[in-house]
Parts: sequence; structure tokens; C-alpha cells
Amino acid sequence: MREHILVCQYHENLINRLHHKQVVVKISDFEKIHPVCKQLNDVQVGLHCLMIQHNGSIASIPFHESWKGIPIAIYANEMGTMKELMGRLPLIRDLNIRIFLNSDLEANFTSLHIMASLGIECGLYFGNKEKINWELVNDLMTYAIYGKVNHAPLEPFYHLASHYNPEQHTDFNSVYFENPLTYLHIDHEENIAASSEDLDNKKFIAKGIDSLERISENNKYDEAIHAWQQFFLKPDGCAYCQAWRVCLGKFSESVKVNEGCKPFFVDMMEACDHFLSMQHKNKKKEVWQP
Amino acid sequence: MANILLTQQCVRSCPYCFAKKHMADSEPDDILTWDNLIYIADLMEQSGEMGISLLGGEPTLHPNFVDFCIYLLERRFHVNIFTSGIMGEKMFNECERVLSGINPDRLSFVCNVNNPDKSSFSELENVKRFLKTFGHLTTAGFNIYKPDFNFDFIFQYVNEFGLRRHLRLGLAHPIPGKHNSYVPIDKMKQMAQRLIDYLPVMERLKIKGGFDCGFPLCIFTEEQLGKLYKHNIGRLSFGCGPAIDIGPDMTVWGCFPLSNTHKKSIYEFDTMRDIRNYYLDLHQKVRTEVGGIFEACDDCVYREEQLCMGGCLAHSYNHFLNEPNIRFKEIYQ
Repeated sequence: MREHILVCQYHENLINRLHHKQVVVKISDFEKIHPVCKQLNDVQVGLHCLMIQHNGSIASIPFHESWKGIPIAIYANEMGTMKELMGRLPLIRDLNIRIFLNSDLEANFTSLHIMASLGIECGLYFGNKEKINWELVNDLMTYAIYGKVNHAPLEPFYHLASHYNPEQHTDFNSVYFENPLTYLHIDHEENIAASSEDLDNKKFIAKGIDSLERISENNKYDEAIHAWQQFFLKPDGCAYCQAWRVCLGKFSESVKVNEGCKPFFVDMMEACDHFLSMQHKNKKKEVWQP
Repeated sequence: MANILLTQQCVRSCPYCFAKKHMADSEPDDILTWDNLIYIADLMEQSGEMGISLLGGEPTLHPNFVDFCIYLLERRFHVNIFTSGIMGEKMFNECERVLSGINPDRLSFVCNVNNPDKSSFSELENVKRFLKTFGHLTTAGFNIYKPDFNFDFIFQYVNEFGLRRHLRLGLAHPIPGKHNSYVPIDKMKQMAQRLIDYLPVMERLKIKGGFDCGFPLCIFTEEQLGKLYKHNIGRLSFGCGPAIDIGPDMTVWGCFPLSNTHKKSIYEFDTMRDIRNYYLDLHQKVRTEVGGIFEACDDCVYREEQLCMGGCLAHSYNHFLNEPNIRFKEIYQ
């Protein structure tokens, strides 16, 4: 079993205890990028990604050349204007950055469209699930998958399409570091949870960094990674949806007031099939290798 | 190069305006959205066309005008803007701050100027303010709509504001079924002579005049053609072909004077070439019905050899206005 990547808020003492682990570190200040990287390097902790919540526009971020090579996921409120971004786009494209915008603001759908078309890797994250405008999500997905002109990958659509297997289910939550098969969440007291929400709600599955070695034998962990099976114990609902395999019931609570998820994910599956067929079509002939 | 209409409103009311009909029929609040701009940019890039003209109405009336320009420039398009040069203080300041330093190989303006005698004081002041800042990026455009035109004032603009030493000469064309000012066919030779009279002064000032579409070759005498040939170093055009215009509502048409006929949705085509071929084919069909603006166009050897297209197609359409529908059906659509 592959070792889990640990997702945590930046906490100096905790980092010191995560020797040889891979981590996603959450920070909220761009000035901490270098000190955090330095500490991780000093104590031999592998950086999977820095996750930065920025309460402002992308245009207000002080992008810097020294960030080159550092994997960063930025969650921002909005894009800002082209005038404000002018001249900085080549640098942004050069950095190892993916920018996420919230679905709550409709203008963000256009912003993501703009950024992807300018070659900036970006993604949508779902805010208030009851108020998601699924038509806009669908438009963005259509551009992400069917767009004929080269553009940057748009998440989570690209992840779904590129990891899609028609015979299995595909979980796009990895894009947000929320898939317990790969990511576990830990706080400074070494409480471990299957998701950030569980960590916030103190719904822990284990305690202590050492417990990670035996996590596969942990019943709560096993329950967490098989939580999707619960949907099949109900007489109706998400498990019976045509698009179950790419959604896995992520919108089961909001579907009662906002039914748009179903047609979207049905179209998403079609797009995944299209993506797969294009990959087969464009596959280069490969002669046997020694 | 396709023309994208950012707005359908204008700040002027020129007597010759051949977009008049289109503007009158359009929703004034209809402006190009970001998503549609990206769609058009994708279509053009996919078609290998990396030059875009932005126009209106007045394109600077679009609230995202400057952002659109930056976006297209970031996508490596050459952006050409058709403007009156008349804009509000805020928009002007924004344009000055952001666009005036752009490399002239990437961004250019065509400023359509009218005779100062026919313009208000504030309009003139606005135009001069624009030319003072953007002169190095700007080619003056002048639309001829009467045979006794006068563009002396442009020479002053070129010298005072450092405009590009090229003058874009447009010939106002009729809008089929509408009234606008244009040079009547029987006065075209008089207009041609007036144009030739300007050549010595243009040569002295090293300003080249270039024809926009719709000038017929035979309005010039052999001697006049010789002078034009020398003036333009052999680069003479008497063409009339589809200049693809794309409206904010994503309709396309073959050129402004014909904007009330054959509008299609851009989504009906896969590439810019498909759009161009569609209108080229249509225009050719019309020319088989009426060769050009003169009767002699039907048998003209220069038209057959495509040295001249027989003047603006809009004149030909005027033939079909009040006749029974006896020709191929697309003509009357």
C-alpha cells in the first residue's frame, strides 16, 4: 500500500514530527512560502503541495520568480481584471501553480474560462452545493473537454476525464486533496481524519503519526474508504443515478433542492468517454521495447 | 482578418454610415460577452488566423474594451481597432495607461476621421486627444461619400500627431433598401479625378493612400491608373470580397452593407475558412446575376481576370430590390 500524503495546517512542531512523510501544508500568507519550504527541507519532509487560501483576487497575489518549482494550489475569491494581471501571465504560466475559484460567484466561471484559454492551470471548487449553477459548470466542462484549441487543463474535469475507467468509479476529490485512499488529514495534536471536514468536526479515525503504519487495518479507515457503499443500502438516491461512477454521491445532500447535478454528471461521463476515445485515436504506434 | 463587433452603439451619426441598418436593427445594449470573445478567438486560432479587428459601433464603449484587447494580445493575436477616437475621460485614461505602450507590430488603430467642418468642437477635441496619444499606432481612415470630398485636414493630423503615413480610403456604399449618403455611380469618375488631384500633395508628404473595398477600376482613366500604380508602388486593389463581420450575438455576415442579408450563426461553421467560403460562394452567385455596378461589367475582361470585382456588391443588390423573385432564392433572403 502506498504511503498516505498528509494534509495539515502549518504548525512548526507538527512539521518537525513528520520526518520522511509527504505533506500538503495549508498556509494563508504568501510570505510563508519560503520559510515553510526551508523547514520542510531541513527536517526532510517531502512537499507534495502548498495549499494557500487567499481572501482576495488572483491579481492581488505577489507572484514571484522564486516560487518556481514549488507546487502550489491557490484558492482565491476571484480573478481580478486583465489590466491588473497584464504582464504577469508569463510568470504565472511558468510557476508550478494551480488556481482554484469558488462556484458561488458566477463571474468565476468566466474567469476560469479566460485563465484556461490563456494557458493557466486552474480549477473550480464547489462552494454552496445547493446554489451551484450546473449549467455554468456544464459549459465550463464542455470547454475543458471538447475545446478544439490548446488550453490549460481545467479541474476537476480534466482529472475526471484523464483518470476515467469505464469499468470502475473515479473520485475527483483528489484534486482537492480529499480522497482518503491518497490523502489523510492531520492536526497539530496528531488527530487523523479521512477528510478536512471530518477533521474540523473532530470525526477522527486514528491518533498519532505512528498509527499511520497500520492504517489499512483500522476499521474506521476502512469505513471511510468504503463510505460510498452506503449509497447502495438505500432504496433510491445517488447510487441509482446513471452518473454514479463519476460523482459517487458528492451532492447527495443538495440534490433535493438542486437537481442539476444529475444531467451534468451524465454529460461529464459522455465527455470522459469522448476523451478516452480521443486518447486511443491519438495514441502513437509504439514498437516493442527491449 | 475578421471584424468583431464589441458593441452596436456609436457616438457619431455619420451620413454615409453603412452600418446604420445593422445598428438600427440591433439591440443597443447587446455587447460581446467574454465567453463569446473566447469562442471567436478559439475559432480564429484554430483556423490559423491570428489577426483580429475590433469595431462597433464604437468599440471603446464596451466596458471590457481594454481587458479584451489585453486578452487578445496575450493570446498572440494582432489587434486592429476601428475607432472614432471619441471616448469618455475614464476610458481614455485607461487606454492611455495600458495600450499606448504596446508594440506597434501587435496593436494598431484605424481612426475614421470626418471633416472638421462637419464635426462639433467637443468631437474634434476628443479626436485630437486620441491622436496625440495614439498617433504612432494609428492609420487615418477617410470615407468618401460625395464626389467633391476634401481631406486636407488629414495631412495636418499626420504631421501634428505623427500618424502612420498611410491613408485608408473607404468608399461609402449604399445599404440595399435604406438611405445613406454615398457616391452615386454616375459621379464616380468625378470622385476619381478628385482623388488623383490629391496624389502630388500625398507624394510630397510621403503619405500612401490605400483603397478599401469596392473601388471599380474603370472609374479611372489609363493615365490615372498609371499615376496610382506609381503612387502605390504597383499595389492596387479594386476588390470586393467578403469581409467577415461577427456581431455580439454571434451572427456573421459577409460585409456591413450586406448586413441585412444572409446573416448566419457562427455556430453553423467549423472554421473561418468555411465562413469565408460560404460568403464567397454567395457573392459569386450574385455576380453571375449582375456582374458589377456598370452594365459593361458583365463582359469586362478585367473582371473575368479578377483584376477588378466590379465595385461594391451592395450596388448590385439594389437591382433586386423591386423585382419579382425570379433569381436563385438566396438573393432575396
